[in-house]
Amino acid sequence: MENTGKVVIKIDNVKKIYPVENGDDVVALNGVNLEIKENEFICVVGPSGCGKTTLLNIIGGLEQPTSGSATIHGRPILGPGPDRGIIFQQYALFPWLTVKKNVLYATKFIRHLVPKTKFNKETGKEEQVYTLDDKGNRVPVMKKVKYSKIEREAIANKYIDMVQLGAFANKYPKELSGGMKQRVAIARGYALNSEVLLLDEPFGALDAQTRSQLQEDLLRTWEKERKTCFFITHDVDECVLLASRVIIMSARPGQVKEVIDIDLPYPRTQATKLEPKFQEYRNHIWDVVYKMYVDSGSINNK
Amino acid sequence: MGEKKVKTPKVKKPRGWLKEKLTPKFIKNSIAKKNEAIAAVDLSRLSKPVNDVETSGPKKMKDFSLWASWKTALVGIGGVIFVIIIWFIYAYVCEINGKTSFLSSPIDVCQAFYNQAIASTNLWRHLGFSLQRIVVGYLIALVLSIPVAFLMAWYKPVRAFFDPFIQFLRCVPPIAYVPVVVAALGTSENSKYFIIFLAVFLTMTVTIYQGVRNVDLTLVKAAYTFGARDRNLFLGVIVPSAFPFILTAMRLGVGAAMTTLVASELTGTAFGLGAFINSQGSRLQMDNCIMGILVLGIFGIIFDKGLLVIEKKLTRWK
Repeated sequence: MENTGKVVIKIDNVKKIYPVENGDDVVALNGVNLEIKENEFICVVGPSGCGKTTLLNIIGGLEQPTSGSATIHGRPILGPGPDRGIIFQQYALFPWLTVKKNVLYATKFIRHLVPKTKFNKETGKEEQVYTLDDKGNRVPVMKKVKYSKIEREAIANKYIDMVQLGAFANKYPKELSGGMKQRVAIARGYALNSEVLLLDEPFGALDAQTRSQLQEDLLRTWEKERKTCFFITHDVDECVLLASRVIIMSARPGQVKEVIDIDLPYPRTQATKLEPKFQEYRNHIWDVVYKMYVDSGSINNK
Repeated sequence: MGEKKVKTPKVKKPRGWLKEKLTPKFIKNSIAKKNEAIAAVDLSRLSKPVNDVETSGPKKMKDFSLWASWKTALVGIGGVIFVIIIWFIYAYVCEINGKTSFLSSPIDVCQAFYNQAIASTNLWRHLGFSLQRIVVGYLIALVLSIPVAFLMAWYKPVRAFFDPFIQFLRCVPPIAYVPVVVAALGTSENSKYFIIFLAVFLTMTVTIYQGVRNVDLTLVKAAYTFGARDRNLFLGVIVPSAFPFILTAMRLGVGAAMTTLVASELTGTAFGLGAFINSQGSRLQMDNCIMGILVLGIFGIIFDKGLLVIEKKLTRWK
């Protein structure tokens, strides 16, 4: 399933070094190259300490690479922004806001483009403003505006319904279970309507049943919207089930070890795990990851 | 069990024994010895853990839940009654013992309350002065400490500027600088306001500052990914997450105001609950003095409980 879409995010020879006082500096990423294309579902797996989260933070703009470059549509990533929504492992819900207000807050600062209008005194009507582009075509002038309160409410309702939390819209996060909190975080991530969704081990802290449920939910939504996803996990089954492309990273220093296109048709369900092809991918990735554990000395394999 | 303790004769340590033990070589050797001993432990010789009470299993865990409010109130009232009884007894003992010690009994104090608060309005006049001082000093402190604490947490130079003053003043009891303040500001009300203000301001600023620093950085990151600017972040994340700390600071501030009141009224005034307690004390009118202390403490409890109710109402999300 070769993806020939547009490149959205480009990671070019990115190095990230954390200076350590009185010791060897930690090389979290050592020359990582990666292209994330439109409508891809990328999963990154690798042993702990391979720099998965660092890579996500660099794409998200929460950290800057020591050298190399990270760009979105060719523009350098200098900081976080609503074009790259992040879903954190620790949910990061605002405890003082209800479920609905949490989702509403995500869209508060977003601006989008609408056609500019001008009041015409002669006709007494609002009229659209046009300009000529460099080829001489008449194009509407656009302006940046925030969503209206009503639009934001509609967005919030849509995604709260999507994660089936309509009945809990007015509850505070402390009144929800871990799985429900993560569903709110997912609804919030989707409400941003960002170009790329970055997910940092979002299901890592959940029990197996909730995790399976949320994996399916995420698949259904992705199959519908095909939003570009960059998903970090240490769960090999999870990465094969979700991803259209899997990136295996190696630890110390963090590097891309292998890239695998997962050629399993969507829609996928938990039953996909029973297919022989799934097992093949799974076993292969497991071998690569396990071998790295052994080589790094994390597992004593006598 | 039953072994006789053999007393070892004390050997006087030679001069310089400590110096010898502090040499790097000695320290290195003792660490090596310890590590050797650790390596030599045969873990297979250790038995399974044995319970303290072998028949009934492990100890019961401590119950950390809170009591029902009626139970708490009952024990509280019982405690108060108990202390009053002890007070009665001690006052009686003092009375029959004669000259060297003296304590007014609870009945004297009730009588004093009747004289000062019901037969006359003396107490309420003093209380009025004190409440005004507390309210003015407290409100100025509240209004100033919130911005200062936030600015300290938000801007590094502000923190660097204020920190030495705060750390310095925190260690000096207000009673120490009362004469200086009275000399500098005069015996007017301003000196009282200032002393209470300073104590409340220090307490509240430190608490709110800690609260702002405590903000969950993941929430800050999340807000940035929503496109929030610094200003939005401040109002949308920092302020609400520090809000419980502001309420806690307000409660601690009441405590600071009440405890500083007496100091603020030590010099330069004849009015106020603190001045009343002080002057009655120096005139050995212990019934009035104790009554004043009780009124002060009871008002403290009322303020605190009131703020606690507000706190619970406003932070239901916690």
